[in-house]
Amino acid sequence: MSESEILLELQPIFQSVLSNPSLVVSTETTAHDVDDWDSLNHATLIAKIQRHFKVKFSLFEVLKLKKVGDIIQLIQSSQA
Amino acid sequence: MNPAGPYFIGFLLAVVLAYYLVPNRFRNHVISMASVGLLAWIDLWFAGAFLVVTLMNFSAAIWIDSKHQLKQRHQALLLSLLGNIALLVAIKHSNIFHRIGDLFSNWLGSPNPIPALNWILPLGFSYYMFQALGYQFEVYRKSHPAEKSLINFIAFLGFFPKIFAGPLERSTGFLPALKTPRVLEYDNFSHGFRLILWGVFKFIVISNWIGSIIETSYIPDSETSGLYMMLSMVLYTLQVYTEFSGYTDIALGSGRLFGFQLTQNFRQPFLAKSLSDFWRRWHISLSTWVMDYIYTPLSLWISLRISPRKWGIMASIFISFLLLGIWHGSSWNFVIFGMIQGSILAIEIISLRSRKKHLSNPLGRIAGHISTMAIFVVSAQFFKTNNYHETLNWFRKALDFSNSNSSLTFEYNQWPTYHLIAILIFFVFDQFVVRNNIEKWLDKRNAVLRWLFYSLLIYAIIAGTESSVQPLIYQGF
Repeated sequence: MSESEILLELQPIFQSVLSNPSLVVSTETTAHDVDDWDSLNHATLIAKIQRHFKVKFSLFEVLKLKKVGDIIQLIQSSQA
Repeated sequence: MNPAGPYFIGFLLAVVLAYYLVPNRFRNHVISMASVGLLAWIDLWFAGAFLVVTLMNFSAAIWIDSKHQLKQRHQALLLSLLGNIALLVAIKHSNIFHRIGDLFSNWLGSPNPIPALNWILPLGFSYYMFQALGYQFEVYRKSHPAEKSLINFIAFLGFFPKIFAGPLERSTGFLPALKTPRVLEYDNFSHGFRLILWGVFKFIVISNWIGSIIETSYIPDSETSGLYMMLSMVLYTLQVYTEFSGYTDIALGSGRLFGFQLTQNFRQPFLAKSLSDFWRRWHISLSTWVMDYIYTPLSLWISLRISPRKWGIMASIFISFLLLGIWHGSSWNFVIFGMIQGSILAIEIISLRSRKKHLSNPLGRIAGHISTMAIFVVSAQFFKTNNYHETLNWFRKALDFSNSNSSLTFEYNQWPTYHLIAILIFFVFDQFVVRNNIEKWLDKRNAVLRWLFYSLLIYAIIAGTESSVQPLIYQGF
């Protein structure tokens, strides 16, 4: 999947987990930029992304994530 | 040795002088020698324990970094963590098995077969141990390579201004700072001395004032009224704050003299709206350490491997703060302290959305402030007493208002009105005016006002040192 396709599919996941229907994230968005993207939601978010894209991340990989772009790259490498 | 006392300040100035007299490439050598030297000066055992932890972590990180396959890296990290935790339990929590034995022997009515070891806790042990654990974790996740210079590593782990009680510095910030050339700068000295002066004032003057007011409330069988004990309970929290934040300012100011910006540990904690907000403002370097190195990996692991449901998050936060409590010591008091914090934070974390609505109106915010302070003031009492029986008895006595009709003065302690007014003025000034940033506040004042302020602080410190300086509470952890 391309970066833009994954980003498009990530939008509703972010909107649902963070309870913000108008939220739009970009590849450069970080947890600091989004109000409710805290440690509680981060774990839920990662679990939902895993299920949606049918991929499995390791803890090591997840701990290195800094922005949405990193999540997209991780999904791409897991699907490859 | 007390970090606000003349021996430490004298030692600090001597090391700063040596530091700037040698070329840049030898400055970390000066820090390392001074740090190990200070520990050895206080007690040879302290220096020995520090060197064991340092050498163990220095070589373990190089070993982790040499593993390129993820599985091998995991195993190397796991072994290194186990080694560190074994050392931590052996030295700091040596009596934990004795205490567990006590619990069972009380139930069974038989003598405790596990002997008490009562080892002396090396100065700064928990602080440099946690920094070492964080460092292993950062090397493991490739935030930076393992440090190859033992001198730099000793300087990072044992930098003496932070050895007494932190702040806990991260290898990601402090190791690069140690590799940056440092020059003598007027600003560093001016800001450094301001911070030290303000810290010594809080540590010696305010903390001792509060100590003199509350000490009688904590003497067993004292005839203190319940109301006075309640007041002492609130003041004790303020004493811990003035003492610990005073010490932190001394550490931060000393760091500035060497050209380092250490981590700020406090950000107006008494203005917190919730307990989670409180832990973002109180002992910040420890709470963020716990969140980054325990809570986040644990909650993600549960979420990824066991269940993404909220119970995993609640369990993670509870375990993390239980461990934060145990970090202070192996007494049941600290376990209870951690359990109180963990339980309330677990409830707060799942009720975040509904609480947000309440906190948006003024009444909700006031209720949030009051309940947060009440929780912390009550749980802080577990730090003051020796065991939970003593704590419970103390609360029983404080809540017994049957003698509250008696005068608030008692035979050996007059109602300390002037001290209370002075403490109140300090509190308002510190939390609402200075806002844990004395450097910024002084920067905005003119020279006359600044020097008047310094003179007042120096006068109060000289007058304050006539009474004995109490040992730093957080130094014991």
